[in-house]
Amino acid sequence: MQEINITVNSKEYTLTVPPYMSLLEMLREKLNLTGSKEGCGNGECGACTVLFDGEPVRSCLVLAVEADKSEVTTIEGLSNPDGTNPIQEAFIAEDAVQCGYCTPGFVMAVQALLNRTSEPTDEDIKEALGGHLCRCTGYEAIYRAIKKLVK
Amino acid sequence: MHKIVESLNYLGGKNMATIPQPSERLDARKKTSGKAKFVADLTFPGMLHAVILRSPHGHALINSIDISEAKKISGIEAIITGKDVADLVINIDIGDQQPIAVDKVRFMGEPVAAVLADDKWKAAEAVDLIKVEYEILPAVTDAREAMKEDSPILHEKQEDYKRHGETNFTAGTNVFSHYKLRKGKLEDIFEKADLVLENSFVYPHRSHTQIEPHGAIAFWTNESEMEMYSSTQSPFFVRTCLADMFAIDPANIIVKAGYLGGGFGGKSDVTIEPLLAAISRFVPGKYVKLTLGREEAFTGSVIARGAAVELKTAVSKEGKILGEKVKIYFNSGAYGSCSLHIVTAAGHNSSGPYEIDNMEVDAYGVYTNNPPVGAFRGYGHPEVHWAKERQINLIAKELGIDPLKVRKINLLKPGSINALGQEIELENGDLAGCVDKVAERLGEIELPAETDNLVYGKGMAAMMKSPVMATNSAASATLRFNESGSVDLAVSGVEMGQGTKTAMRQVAAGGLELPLERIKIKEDISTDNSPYGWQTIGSTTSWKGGMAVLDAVQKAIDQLKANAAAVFDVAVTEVEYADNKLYLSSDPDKILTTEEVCFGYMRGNGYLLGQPVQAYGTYVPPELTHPDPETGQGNCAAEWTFGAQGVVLSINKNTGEITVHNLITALDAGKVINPVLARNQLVGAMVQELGGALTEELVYAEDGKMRNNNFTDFKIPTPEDVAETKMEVYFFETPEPIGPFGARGIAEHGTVGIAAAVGNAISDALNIEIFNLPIYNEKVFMEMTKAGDLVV
Repeated sequence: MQEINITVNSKEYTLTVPPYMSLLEMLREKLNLTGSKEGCGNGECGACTVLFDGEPVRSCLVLAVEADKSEVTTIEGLSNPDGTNPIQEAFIAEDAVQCGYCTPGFVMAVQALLNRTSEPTDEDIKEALGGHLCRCTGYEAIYRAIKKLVK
Repeated sequence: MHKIVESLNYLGGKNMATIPQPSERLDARKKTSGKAKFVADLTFPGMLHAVILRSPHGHALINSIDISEAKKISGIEAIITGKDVADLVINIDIGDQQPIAVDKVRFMGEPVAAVLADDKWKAAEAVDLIKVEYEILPAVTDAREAMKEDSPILHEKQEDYKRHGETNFTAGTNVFSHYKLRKGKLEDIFEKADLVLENSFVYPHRSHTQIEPHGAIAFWTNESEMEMYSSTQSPFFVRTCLADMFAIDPANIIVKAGYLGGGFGGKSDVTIEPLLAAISRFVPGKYVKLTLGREEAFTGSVIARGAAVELKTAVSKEGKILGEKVKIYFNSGAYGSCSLHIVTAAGHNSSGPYEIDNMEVDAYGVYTNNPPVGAFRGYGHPEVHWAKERQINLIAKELGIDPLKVRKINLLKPGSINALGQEIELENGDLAGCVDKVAERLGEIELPAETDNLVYGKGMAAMMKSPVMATNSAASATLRFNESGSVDLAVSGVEMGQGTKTAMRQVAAGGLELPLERIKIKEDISTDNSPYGWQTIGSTTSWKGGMAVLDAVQKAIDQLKANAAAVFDVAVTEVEYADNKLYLSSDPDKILTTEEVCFGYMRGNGYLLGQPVQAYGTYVPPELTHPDPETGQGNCAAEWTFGAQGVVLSINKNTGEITVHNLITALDAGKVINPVLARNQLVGAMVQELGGALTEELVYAEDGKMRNNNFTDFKIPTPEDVAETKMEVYFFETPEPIGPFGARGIAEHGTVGIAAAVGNAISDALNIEIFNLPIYNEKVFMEMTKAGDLVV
């Protein structure tokens, strides 16, 4: 077991974790932040995406011990105090959600994109969504939501 | 034979009522903020974790299992092997499967042992220490191979299996089901025809790949009472299966289903539930959780499709189909129950949306050493449409006429008799209109001229779909007025992304003429107190669930009227309900609000008139029968949805790379309950099926090992794949007489014709003919090279 200090959604934690525990498992099982989902456990689907020191990562591929002294933002940390967030509002308005299992990962990917640039090109958007899988929507509404957001 | 049992005047002529539209999906806020809970997100104090040891072989005898080393790991609560649960049989239709393999494994991924521990890593460590000695047997992974005499046999004693109902199996072979359809007589039709065209088409195995892998949590109070949370589309069906397996009363099993992270049929019937129920029974009083990893979801649940379709079609020189012989071979995997009815559905619908007077269909369900096949969005229809709609184009090519002409001369129309012997009526929908619409759109889309690199093509397919279901497959709803005049509604369908709760709330609001916000709908299901629903499958929930909601609405209005009649002191027939108010028909100024009477009406002295309004609505599709064993015909489909689909694509002549520019669907929805949800269902279905058309295929080694059970090697459509694809969806609205407000099923229908439309577009672009899916870029490249169109 190893002790780590980590800031998650602006809150500081000191946690004792086994060396083989992933960041995703730590978030879900230690902190009960279950908004980040496991779809594959191999970094192939994007459902577990969180911001790690500002960068989007597949939290299933990061060990919790690697996150020592770092800052992590999850889907639960995105909302403003009034519970709203422009990305979520755009996804809702364009009905870019069906089963919702992949949705937190997509929302985090869009947040990371908008953190990098407020005026992403179509290519930037495509690249930001690379590696994110959705089996329900056919992606059309997700693109529509993002384009609405950056207009 | 297609009977109209409910009149269009259902609910007093409000069939075309304006259905109130919400500004957003009911669950969108919870799902975009990470607050929506799925089964994997649930934990309970003291919960144990189950990890499964699965067979690495496609076909093998289990000679011995040694758990002695595994038992030494601390924290292990139980290790269970097949011998411990050898008396348990999963018998949905055919009792051919056990929760854990006992003497023999029949597919890679079949459970061999389970470890329960207080920590998932310890359980996994123990699983690694279990030693199994296998004796490997020859395997078979193709249905037509498995029907040959010298094939390995998966189930030596089919005749010993218990069955629910008739299944036409052949003992001593791998055929567990043979569906026969006979309509008219083929006799000398093939000799007399101007053209006889014989082709064979293959639709391979795919995986549903819901992004949420299967998961469940079980808790046994004692050995005859349990509750289970499961990622299931069919909580009541799971309950029925488990009650049968343990021979206990279904009332003693509670199955709970909340949000489902995608279903697509792969979480209907049963998957991991019998396994978890069997192993968790060894630790009563403890919650046990089983969630599949991605590779396990590929091999350890159910897989999808897998059919070879052989068509022999007799055609006149005008393109009229005179008769057809159809053989369908389903590669059903190691166990048959979950694909039994797909075989039948494919047989029913192998005619495509055409009137064919003379047909002989033989559809076989065949055991192979692959994971068992289950329902997948489209349920037998995409398989036969891949064959049929390609065949139509091939007929047109042979005859030198426009494929559209061949389609139109053969289309089902009012008065036609379909393959099942049912008469098609106007109310079944505007098939010709849908075909014309897609043809018109394809005509309007101007293709860029061919370049050195790119060539363009357009293709279409006509389609039909009917849900196949148990003849007693009910949907139900409960509707209860609260003291404020608001309503608590519950409907039997599971929410898996299709938006059923959003839509059912709209149906209730439309029927009651109440604002949407006055209706609260229960989003999860618990079999002990939710209204009964057979399964959430076949795009039937808006239709059947909607009818159940309207039944409850009608009964609630009757109760409101009775309460008001008691207040007015008149016969109930003298009370009218409109605009959320009750009034005397003879004196419309005498008005009571719903709020005043919905809990009964209390006089000043406390005397209560009437009673609180609560209604139970139910709907069972009318007059369904099993198909006749000899002709395969009968009233087996209660409703049909007709439509057409189109594809515009380009192909890179140097690489074979396909880019899809347009995906088009026109469908007769009867009545669109929610235009946003409806469109998005069809867009999602089209793209999902595009995966089947272009990239998705489970690949097996000769010994039955699945080679690509991960997202890297099994490629589903990605955001990049459809970034430039224009989606077009057009709805016709010919009211369905037995649908709520005239609505019929629409969601999975977007899958049915896409693969064939892609195949036809490639033929249009390059004049090469593809018979086997998926149409990998490489396959197109190879075909181009073969055709000599390419100078390398």
